[in-house]
Amino acid sequence: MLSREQAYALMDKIVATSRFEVVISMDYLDLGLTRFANSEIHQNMASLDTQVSITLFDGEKMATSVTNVLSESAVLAALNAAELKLPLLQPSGMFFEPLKNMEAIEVEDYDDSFNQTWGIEQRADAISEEIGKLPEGYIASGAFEVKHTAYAWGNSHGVRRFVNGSQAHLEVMVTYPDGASGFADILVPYAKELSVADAFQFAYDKAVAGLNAVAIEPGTYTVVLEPPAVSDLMSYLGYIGANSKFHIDGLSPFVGQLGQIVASDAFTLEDWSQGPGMIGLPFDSEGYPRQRLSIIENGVFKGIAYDTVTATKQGVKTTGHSTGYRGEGGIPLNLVIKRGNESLADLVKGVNRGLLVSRFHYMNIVDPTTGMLTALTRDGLFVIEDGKVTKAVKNLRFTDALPRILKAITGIGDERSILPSFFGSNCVSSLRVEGFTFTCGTSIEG
Amino acid sequence: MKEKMKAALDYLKQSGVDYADIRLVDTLREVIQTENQKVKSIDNSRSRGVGIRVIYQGSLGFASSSDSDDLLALADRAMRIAKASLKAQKQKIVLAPKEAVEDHYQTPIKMDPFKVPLEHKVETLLRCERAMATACELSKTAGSMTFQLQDKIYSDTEGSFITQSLYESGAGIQAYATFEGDTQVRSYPNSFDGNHGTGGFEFVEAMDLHVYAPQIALQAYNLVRAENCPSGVFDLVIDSDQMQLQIHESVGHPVELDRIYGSELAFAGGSFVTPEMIDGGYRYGSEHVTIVADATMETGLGTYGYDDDGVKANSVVIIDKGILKNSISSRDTAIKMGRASTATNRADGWNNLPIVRMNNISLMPGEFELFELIEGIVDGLYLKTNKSWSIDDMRVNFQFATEIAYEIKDGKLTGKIYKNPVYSGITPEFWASCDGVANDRYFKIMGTPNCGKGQPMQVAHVAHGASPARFRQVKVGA
Repeated sequence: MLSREQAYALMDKIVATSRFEVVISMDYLDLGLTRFANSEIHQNMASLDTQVSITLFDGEKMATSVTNVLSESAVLAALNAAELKLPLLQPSGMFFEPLKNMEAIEVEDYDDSFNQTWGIEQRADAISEEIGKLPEGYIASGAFEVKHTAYAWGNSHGVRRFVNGSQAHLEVMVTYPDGASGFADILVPYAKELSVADAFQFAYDKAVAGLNAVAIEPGTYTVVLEPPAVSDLMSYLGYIGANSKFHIDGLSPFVGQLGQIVASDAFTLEDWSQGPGMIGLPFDSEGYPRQRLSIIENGVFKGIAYDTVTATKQGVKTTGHSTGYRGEGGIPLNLVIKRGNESLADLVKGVNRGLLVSRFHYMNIVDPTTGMLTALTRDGLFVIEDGKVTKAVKNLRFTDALPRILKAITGIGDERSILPSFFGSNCVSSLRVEGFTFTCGTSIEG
Repeated sequence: MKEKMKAALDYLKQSGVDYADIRLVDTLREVIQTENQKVKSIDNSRSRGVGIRVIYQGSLGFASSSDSDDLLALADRAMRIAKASLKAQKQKIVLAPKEAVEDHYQTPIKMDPFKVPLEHKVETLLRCERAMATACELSKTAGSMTFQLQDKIYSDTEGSFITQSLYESGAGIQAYATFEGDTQVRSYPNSFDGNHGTGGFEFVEAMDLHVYAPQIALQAYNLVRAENCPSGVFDLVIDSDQMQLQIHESVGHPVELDRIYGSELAFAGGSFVTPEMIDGGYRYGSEHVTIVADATMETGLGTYGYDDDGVKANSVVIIDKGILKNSISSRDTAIKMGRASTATNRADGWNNLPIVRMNNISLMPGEFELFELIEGIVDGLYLKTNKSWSIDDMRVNFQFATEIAYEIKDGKLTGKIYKNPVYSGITPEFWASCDGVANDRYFKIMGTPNCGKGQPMQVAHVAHGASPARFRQVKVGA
């Protein structure tokens, strides 16, 4: 494990050697991953890596060198390469305000018990045991990942940041030969919070519910989206809706709509990397604290995520949402939906005829300016009739616009799940949405 | 290093492994990005490390580290992992036979991209941006170049020792235009950072970026003022720069043999293709559709000397005149079909297990001139340049958006363009509707440097060649 002292010592050396303003970041990853498919472990791996990124600044010029070869000579060679490159560059047009705030951010949350509880052998034992419990015909696939991470940040002005932590991510898919499938997705920061048995049971129950699925006509339906489906939508909402770069480039569907109603008045969304149970960094890649950012409050568009470059362009302060020194804007990575007041059963009860969506597959942006997204349903799609889930149906593709979806939310779940997001975690409830547009089915017969 | 690797492999043999290999990978990259006639970033990176793969009593273990000093400790870790895998083993891993070789392969290059002066690379991009900005009113211009040198040393317990030096170069430019609240983009030579191939800086020079810069600028300017593409069912001519992703998503991924056997089911998904379909007479497309996986194509981004099983790169017909003939495979998947590996087991860097990946998977040229394809359409569209993609977990239902559509009426391009075209289909039905492919004069190979698969996510560099092709009665519009 990369310690704070090791990281800071290397940073001090680079700062002392550099001829320019410098920012250093260090990434440590100790990864163990056990994958299973066809009810057996088929891939099983471990990896250990530490990477140092050195970014030099000279006014509006910036050059970055990254290396994972950590000998002193190799690190200094990376520094030297950046120093040689810097004078050759032209001004970038982007001025990077150096961080001089000395307030320390140091969070040590490494869970050593992962290695005893969910080490290489324990992961294999647990997977083997749960596979053995599945009734005949049911097949398990998935991945069980445990990782310890550390991220350190420092600059020429003596600012130092350090965070470490651990997490387990368990994905379980249970399938039946008729095509039924169920999926469980568990992300936890502490070993004791993980139950492999519960994940297998959830996926199995979903697969059983999905047996004997029939085709259904595409069209417009009221949907109840379960948390994994909502999490995907929220990640894209954060990416194109609250990313400052998309706003500056005119590519966001919410350009010029700050202060305007963009969602149902029951819907409130914020970015909060340090919220309860969230797995997210307390500072961004420019060293700034990740602010708790209100994005949508009671349906009103309240906030955009910024890095320093886009913030300077817009005459505002960064919100601490940089993902790198490339002027890519601020990206919210830890989205939290305000808890609603309906149970999943209540949300379903409120649907006369519609669909219950377990999760989506391969979501992508069709057109960012209109917020048009597309994806397919996966691992459980069910008909709701007269407020009850009545039968499983085959997968459909939706193509619909985020602004329309947000305004059509008519119910928000009272239970929230923490799920993996693009590079962090989202805390999301189930949602009921009117008029969700499914454009086609997925069978070869058409 | 050769002796050190041999000692570790000997140690593993003495420990009773069925098989082991060691890969030492050292990757240098340079990424230059410009935007609005300014240098946005220049990043250089190096990632070096070693991975040891072990098969013990038919189960797999893989351990990797950026510290390559203690290979024996890493070997022990890989063994421990393989022994853990035994706890949930149903079928022993067996490898298809291969020839043990000692060899070196290097990408043929004329100009080492890392020796080309940085100022020249930057100026090449800025010159293009100036050309775009002066051509018409744009809201943004951008450009990028990416270069990579990957040195690999591979050694295994079967006696192979292979070294490779793989060079890659790539570049692209984009013009953005904004009008009445809408923004549209045109890219050259392709979207998502352009085109990439194995080769030196000459690959970038051959793109003639500055020649095309004003053209895409004007296209973007006109596109943002164009009507939205009509919805309906149309005959399409799809250009090479969109065909590459069509091939990638609806042929390349479905014919990965590990996916067919369910290895990726919980993550990226499975495939509608079954082992029985392969060489079982399954009609994947029309007689115009012949698709080849070839890791030896000049400048293809999926070109290499050997895969990470140590199998020599080769060329395999995947679909022959519409009939599915083969898959792409690794040694451990190919043997389940009783076949030799297609040399397509590749890892992303040193820290990942090799998995089945595409190389250069191409639609072979047909006999048509482009104008003949267009002449055969009464009411249709000519689509260019990918903008968006999505496909279901069994690779059946796809939907693509392209940057631009050109109207075809009565066998001619009318000159009218549309923005936001989207088309969708069902994989075998779509390929069955192909009734013409343009000839080899129109053939282009396009690199895809961002193919994601596996857990942890691995990014593969692959390519697809195609000439424009015609498809009948395709659903257009969401």
